[in-house]
Amino acid sequence: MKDILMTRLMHLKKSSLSLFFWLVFPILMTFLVVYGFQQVKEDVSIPVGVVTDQSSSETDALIEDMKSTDFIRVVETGESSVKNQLEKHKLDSAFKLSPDFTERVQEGKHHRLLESYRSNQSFAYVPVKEMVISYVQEDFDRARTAKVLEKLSAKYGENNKWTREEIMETSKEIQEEQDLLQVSLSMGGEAEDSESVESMLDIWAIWASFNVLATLLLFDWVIHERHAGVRPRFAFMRYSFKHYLLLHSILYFLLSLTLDFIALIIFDVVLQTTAPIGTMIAFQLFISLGAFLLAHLFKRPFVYYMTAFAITLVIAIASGTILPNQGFTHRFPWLMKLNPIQPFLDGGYGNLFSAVVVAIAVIWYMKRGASRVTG
Amino acid sequence: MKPIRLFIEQHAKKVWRKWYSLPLLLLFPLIIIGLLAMIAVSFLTQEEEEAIQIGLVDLDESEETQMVNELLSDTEELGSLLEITPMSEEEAEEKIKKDDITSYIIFPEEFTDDLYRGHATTIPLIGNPKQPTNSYIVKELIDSVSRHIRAAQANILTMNKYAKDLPVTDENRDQFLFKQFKDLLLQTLSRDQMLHEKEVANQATETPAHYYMLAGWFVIVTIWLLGFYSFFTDERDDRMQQRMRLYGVRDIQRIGAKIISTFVLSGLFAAGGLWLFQVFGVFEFYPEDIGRIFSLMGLYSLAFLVILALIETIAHGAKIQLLVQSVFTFLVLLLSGAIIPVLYYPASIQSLLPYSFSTQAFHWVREVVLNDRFYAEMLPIGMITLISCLVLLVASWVKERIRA
Repeated sequence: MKDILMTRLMHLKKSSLSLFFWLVFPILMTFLVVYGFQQVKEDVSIPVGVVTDQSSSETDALIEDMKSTDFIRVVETGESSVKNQLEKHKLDSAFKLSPDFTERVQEGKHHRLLESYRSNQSFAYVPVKEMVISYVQEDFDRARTAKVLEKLSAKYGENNKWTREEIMETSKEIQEEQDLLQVSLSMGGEAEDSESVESMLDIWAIWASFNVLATLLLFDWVIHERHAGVRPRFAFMRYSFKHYLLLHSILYFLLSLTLDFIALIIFDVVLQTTAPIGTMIAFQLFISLGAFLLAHLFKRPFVYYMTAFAITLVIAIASGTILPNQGFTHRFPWLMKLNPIQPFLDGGYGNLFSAVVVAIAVIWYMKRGASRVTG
Repeated sequence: MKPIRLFIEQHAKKVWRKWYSLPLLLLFPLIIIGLLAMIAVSFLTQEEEEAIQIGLVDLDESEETQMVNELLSDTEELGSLLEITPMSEEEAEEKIKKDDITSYIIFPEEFTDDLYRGHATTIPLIGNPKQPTNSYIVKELIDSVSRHIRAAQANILTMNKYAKDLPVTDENRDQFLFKQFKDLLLQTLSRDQMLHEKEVANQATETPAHYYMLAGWFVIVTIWLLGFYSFFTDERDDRMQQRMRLYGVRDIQRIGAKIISTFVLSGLFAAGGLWLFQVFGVFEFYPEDIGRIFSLMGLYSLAFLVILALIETIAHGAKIQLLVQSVFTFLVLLLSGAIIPVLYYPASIQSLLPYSFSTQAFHWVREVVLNDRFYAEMLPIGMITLISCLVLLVASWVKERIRA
């Protein structure tokens, strides 16, 4: 074993920087994706048009409310340009306040306070609509409360006991002070902060996808050494070429595994997420074995690299790293069975892919290679 | 020029010899797009066809919660999106495990009492870890319902406060408040009436389906460019390169030949894709349109390939080169608007978009194909192409200087 280590070290001296880069690559990329997503998510903005002919405290309050919503960018515009902008798809949707909005709110008339415009590409229309309605409803209810109280005081002969503004202000204060009803979301027992990016992204799926790429690219030494000039000399050596390859891949596997454990610790500390160690070892073992065998099929490293990138892309999409795909994988069970990272994501140890890899590995080992001379 | 011709001839021979890898290269982006489309479709239809299943666990068992229970179970209030079923807590936990429900809501013990007394309470919503996205949708919906409840409650409390100042008997006041509560509730339920919805009819062709078909074509052409460029990339060992240099072959000639070969080959297949659109009657092209699309896509492809070549010139090692090129391709596609329409991007990113050649190209191709525009702005994208060509020439020249 010592001489195996020595040979590997001699090989690695030339490419230590590259080796180090691909070992930390999965951790690096996972952080990059998580923080990139966080940055973008913070200022996602949906352009929503607002058309209003008048300006009163009611309309201003509504527009202020809309502007204070994080995910909306309010574009105040005229009626003539709003349709044009929607057709050109510069606005997601638009809302037009009715010409007598203020009067109708004050009179407590509920019907058709707003007109909404949408196109067939208004992807964010439903949540935006709900949000706008809830703001109008709030203002409307307050105005209505004021009106009802005015009537009531008039009934008892105390006209203009309070001003409208006073009443509406009180209602706002009470709502803010007595924030009585809250909804909390938790997943599978532990409470979660719904604002955090970590719960939106499947960190382990991202890490696993990048780990597949890194492992595939790390095993390119198999191609280099299978076609190296030194190969015929293995006939005279203590190790058969097969054993030589196998022992070296164990080294690479252990190296990757070390980095996996480091990832486990770092993600636990920084991103507060963890994965079972056992399934992690199984996952790394099967993808390393798979990469080792795949590399045997190639003569030219560059073609192998291209294949590695292509395979990673397919795996990443199929396991929902790029688009959340809940429900999809459940409809195509064969896809789950062949996806190398599926057992890791589900907390299992193996699937059809692992079985196939092990079977091919056994066949590869049993097959009498030309260089298998010594025992 | 002679070396370039030689290289191109060699590329043609390679295509001839390795024809079997071409279908693979051509099909790969199609598989990717198909997979993505399948996920997107199953994602959307799932929401439309099957309602999200939600459990409701009532630990309070007061009259009020039972009323809400009944109201929620058979109301259309939240649309057909949700289906709420009352159940026990054990049952709910079991169903989460079996993946039968998306989440369940718990009315905690003493829930009604707390609300009456003005103690703050929380409604726990337990999500299914296997369906995180749907759980968030439920959270948003329940949030908006509870916002309505909060507003109504605040208004009732306001009325109560002011009514106390008036010479009203307690009994009358209670009756008055109860009537107001019912009115508020009714109004909340009929809140959709305040909105009159209109759909702006776009040009007939600009439907999401058409948009995404064109976008798919754009993405596929881009991946082909990367694929063919890599296909023509030949690893030569150092000795071979040395010998070529001795014959006076320069790096830029090799790279230029590669750009030309890739450009021609993917151009053929891209045009084939457009032809298929025409044959199946997806899009209708006027002769002038074709000229515009070809110029736009030509400039775009050229700029893209030149930057790939620039990465190859600068990057050290095949693995890093492919990594940077892949990440670059991903960013180019993301910014183009072919995956997510650009209008949803944050303002900080939007201000950069005029400088992104893929955004420009896809925008004008879309205008020409989908909106029947008879004009396309070529100057910005042409400038970007020109500048990247110059940068490549300089970089390649500098690199040879350093090596020499």
